[in-house]
Amino acid sequence: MDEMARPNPDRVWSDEGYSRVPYWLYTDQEIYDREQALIFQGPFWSYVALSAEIAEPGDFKRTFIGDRSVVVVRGEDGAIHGFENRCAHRGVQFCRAHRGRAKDFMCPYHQWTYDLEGNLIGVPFRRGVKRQGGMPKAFDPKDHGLRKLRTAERHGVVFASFDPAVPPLEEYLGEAMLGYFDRVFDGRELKVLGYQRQRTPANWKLMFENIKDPYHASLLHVFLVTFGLFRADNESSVEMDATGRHAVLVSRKGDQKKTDDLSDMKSFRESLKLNDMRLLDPVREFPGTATVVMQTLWPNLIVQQQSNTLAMRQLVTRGPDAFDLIWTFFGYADDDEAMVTRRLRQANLMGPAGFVSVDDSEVMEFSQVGIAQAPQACGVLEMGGHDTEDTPHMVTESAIRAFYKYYREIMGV
Amino acid sequence: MDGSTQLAGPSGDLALRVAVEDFYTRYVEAANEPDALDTWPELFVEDGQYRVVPQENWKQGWPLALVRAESRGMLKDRAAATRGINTYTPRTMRHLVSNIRCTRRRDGDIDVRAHFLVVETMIDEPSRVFASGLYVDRLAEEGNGRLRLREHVVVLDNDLVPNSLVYPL
Ligand code: FES
Ligand SMILES: [Fe+2]
Repeated sequence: MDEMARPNPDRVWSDEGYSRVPYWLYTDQEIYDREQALIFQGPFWSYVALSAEIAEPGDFKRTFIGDRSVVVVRGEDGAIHGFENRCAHRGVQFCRAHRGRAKDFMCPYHQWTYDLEGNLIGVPFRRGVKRQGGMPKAFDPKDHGLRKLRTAERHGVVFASFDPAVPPLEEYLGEAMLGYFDRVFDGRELKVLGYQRQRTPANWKLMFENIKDPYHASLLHVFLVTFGLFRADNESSVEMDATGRHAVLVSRKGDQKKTDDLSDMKSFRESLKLNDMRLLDPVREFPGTATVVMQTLWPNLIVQQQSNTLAMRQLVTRGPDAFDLIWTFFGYADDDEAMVTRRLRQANLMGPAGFVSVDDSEVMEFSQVGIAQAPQACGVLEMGGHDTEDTPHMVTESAIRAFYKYYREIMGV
Repeated sequence: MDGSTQLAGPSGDLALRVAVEDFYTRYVEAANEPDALDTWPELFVEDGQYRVVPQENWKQGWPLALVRAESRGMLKDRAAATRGINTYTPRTMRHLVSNIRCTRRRDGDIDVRAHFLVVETMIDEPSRVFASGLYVDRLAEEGNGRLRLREHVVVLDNDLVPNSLVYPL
């Protein structure tokens, strides 16, 4: 996208490199537009669906890449197709349901009709009426299909990209991230348990920062700290792919006990007891010792595995000041009833009403209002030093620095 | 429920109706008032069920809820989260409950359907509609005549929550 103008010249990133993030990055419309063009429409794989959501031919899901509405659909041949939800005639967003089953897609306005691959197959009055009107002879439906997406499917997860130059998915994720991905998506059939959606009045990058920031978890989240689910003194690590755009936070559950390191963790409440312990009754279900793996995949996905609650958190940008988070909670088709109930109970920790997640969505709103009042100021990211390396602990902001290092390369800012 | 309203019809149910309306007034007082939040779980039976369900999950029959409590203990844990575990912008919630229908079941419980609207008010912002929807509830009448919720299923009209759900619906 070389034709894009350089951003506003007074918007200069400080020389301190990745340990500073300027606040105009979260508020400027110009930056937002550039992100849509270079990131969300760029050569990257955005998460769009679980295969289980579009299992049968004709099953479709309406979703988003950046702020663009798109449709993904299972074709007659079993392959997954995707296209932008915007009629090639005059722009109508023709699909107005979260999901459904279709033989084809007809735009209601002038009834142009598209097949499941997005090809234009019907134009009413194309030959005119009573020999009058109609499309010019040269009009070729092949030139007026929907804007198509590339799609890729791996172990029950579907990704899509606007850019035909996107590399193969496995290469895009890289070996280390693929290993963590395959830990949850091991080829077993997935089963959707339901959705949660929220609109958070904050810039989308704050959501990524939040999940790349293990530092806050031991401080902000009384619930996690108290019940040992994610705490600075638990054995843990931060790992990234070679580019720094993807990351995982990995941790092992500790106990609800006091240790010397807790003196800084004011959120620890020794006296806090649950009245009904069924809420926290985790069982080990994945190989290895990690009990939490939170994976952030550029540019729009967080894969959540906290104890037995599994969810895809999909980011949908809504202008510089807001994003939607769409949570798809799932389990495996072979889960027994007790496991399904366990997942549904543990879902209480997450989402717009989550014992843990409420803190994050609220704090992101606090961040946005604070940031918006001083676009020329910047955030300080020095926890764990200045570099962008993996760490065998969680007292670091390195994954956020790595994210911005890559972001700057892509954005040219 | 037949399709017409007749003057003679409801009078037999009048006492039930008044009692149920009074119950929801109490419910709203407990749910709206932070200092009364501790009394909220008491409005449920010991193994009372509370779920807040987005429209799409309800319609498609998916079991996931935004909040899922299966006992008075879990309700107390929710109240505790609101009263000191979670960090959030202070807010005032205002519930309006109306169009209540109640039907006595064969087993003695009472089925209730009611419409609700919840308005949320936070610092620096005018009030906004936070949620609307349907209560699909079941009340138990205890030996002494006291009503409590056996099931309080809050079916939202919306899928998209305005950021966070902190207080009971
Ligand atoms: S805008 Fe879609 S058919 Fe005319
Ligand atoms: Fe968090």
